[in-house]
Amino acid sequence: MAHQHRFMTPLNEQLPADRHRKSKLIDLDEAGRIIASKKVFSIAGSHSADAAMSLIRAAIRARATGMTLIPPITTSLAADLPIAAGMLKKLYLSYVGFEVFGMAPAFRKAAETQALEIVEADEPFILLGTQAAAGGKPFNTVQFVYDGTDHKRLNPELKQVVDPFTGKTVWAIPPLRSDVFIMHAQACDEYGNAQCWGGTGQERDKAKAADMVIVQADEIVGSEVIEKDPTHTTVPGLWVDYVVHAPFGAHPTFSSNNYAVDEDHLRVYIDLARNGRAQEYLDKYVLEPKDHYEYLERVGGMRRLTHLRSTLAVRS
Amino acid sequence: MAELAHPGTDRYSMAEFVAIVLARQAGGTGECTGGGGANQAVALAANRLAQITVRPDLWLFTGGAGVYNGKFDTLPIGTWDPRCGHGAECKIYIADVVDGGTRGERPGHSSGRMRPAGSGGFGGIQVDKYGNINMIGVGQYPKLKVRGPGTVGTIWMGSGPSNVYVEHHSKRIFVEKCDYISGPGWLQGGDSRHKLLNGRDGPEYVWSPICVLDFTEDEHRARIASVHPGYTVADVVANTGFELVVPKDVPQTTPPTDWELNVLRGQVDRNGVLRKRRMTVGL
Repeated sequence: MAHQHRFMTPLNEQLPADRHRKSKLIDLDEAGRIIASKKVFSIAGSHSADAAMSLIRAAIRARATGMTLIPPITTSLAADLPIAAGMLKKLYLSYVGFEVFGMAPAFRKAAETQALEIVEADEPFILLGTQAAAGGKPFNTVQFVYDGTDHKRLNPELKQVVDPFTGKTVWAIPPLRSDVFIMHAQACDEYGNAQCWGGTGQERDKAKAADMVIVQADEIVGSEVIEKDPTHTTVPGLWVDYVVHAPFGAHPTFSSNNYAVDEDHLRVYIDLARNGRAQEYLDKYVLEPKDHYEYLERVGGMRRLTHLRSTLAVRS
Repeated sequence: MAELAHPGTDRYSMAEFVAIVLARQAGGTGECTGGGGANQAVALAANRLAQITVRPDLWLFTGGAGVYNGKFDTLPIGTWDPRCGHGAECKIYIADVVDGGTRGERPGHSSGRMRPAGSGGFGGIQVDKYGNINMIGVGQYPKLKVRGPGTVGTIWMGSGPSNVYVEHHSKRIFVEKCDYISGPGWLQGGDSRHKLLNGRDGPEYVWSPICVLDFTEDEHRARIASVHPGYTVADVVANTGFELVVPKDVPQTTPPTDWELNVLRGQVDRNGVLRKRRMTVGL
């Protein structure tokens, strides 16, 4: 029998029952369950800015456990909260801390009691490893960077190879792929075109280095907003699997150009975690709220969130 | 118990003074980058202060926020604060920074074009007499007594000349030998760094709340370059856990002028972040 080529069938006979472009919107709880079903996840953002906090809280609520985190070059609560919740088994470390607000309490405790496997990584290791995975390369290489440091004996995933062109020994960084990359965007359409209004970080590399991408967005916008300024689209929807609407979803971290970091709330977390009371924080702000909106109520509701929004706009 | 670092007078805070000292030293001639990494509000203020006064060709780089030449006049919390981007001229892809670091300065060519750290410097939970720094931890790895926050960009100290920056001057931080090196200074001193890193120079200064250290020309050992008003050579020696090189005549660091304080407070730090910033001396 002759092969049935599709080009032989007229378009009008191929019309699908539903001719709408597929929406990638799902609810936050479902996203949490998807993340919790994976082993390796990665995140972006910078220090206490643009962290995918609502997705992280959803994954903790879905009882995620035994996971490996590939963080951005610097991060704070986005790593410390999963550690406090017992979600992580392994962490690729570059910098976990609250900077001007102090050390990261759950991270420190887990590291000092060896409850967490730590890969002693750093800025180029995270970035170049992610780029290797993004491009499907076997590894990435650098010269001299680790020559004077202790990473060569502390980080077993850092290897040496011979440069076939010069015969010199160089450092090899493995590809850092993830099962799922979760990211925060200021705006996203339902097809996954995600616009980040902050600095140009690692979102694109991390998206390419992941088998699945989930975007949480402060705002779900219509296509006309994306089309007005496509140069602002950080990650094309083609790379994105799911989109979650999470207004103020980066809270208590900054959302670039949208709202300021909630310093008071970060201090509440740090104080509780430092005094061995992280579970109280988790109960009140992660496990008990029945949904994202109840979380927003518990952290101060419209009054507080509006204040954080105006903090970015008004000169102090 | 550590005491708060006090200024020489009650006219200014120690953080304001350190920012002014750094601003005086910022940049070189021509185009260069100045910025700061984690927890560097002081370096951020210093580079902005230098840019609007004596170094108009300085490119102010704020790593965490990923931009060049933000035009803030109230001080953001850190270099990752998106407010660093107000009035910025370019968003930079973080890989551009990594490219600059892995390429490194060509020895003898210090254009600074891709170098993320201008004035300011790399900090650590330990700093030793050769300017090596440790962000990894204290104790027997992996069973660390104190877990540091991680290496992050301190690794770039191997890429070219840099400075070391600390806000707490104590024997706990200034140690004879770092437990681990996350940022290479002059390594074991002498020519050890030049040999291993193809002639790349090590750190030039150590900025502390009570003094400035530099390094001797041959051994590359830390030496007192100046002591801030209100402190003495004896204070520096007593709070440093390694043997410092102490020249016969140690100058006092030039105090801040009213003009410097006015520009800093009126055009860089209008919200008074540095007036409240805590720097300490002693264990």
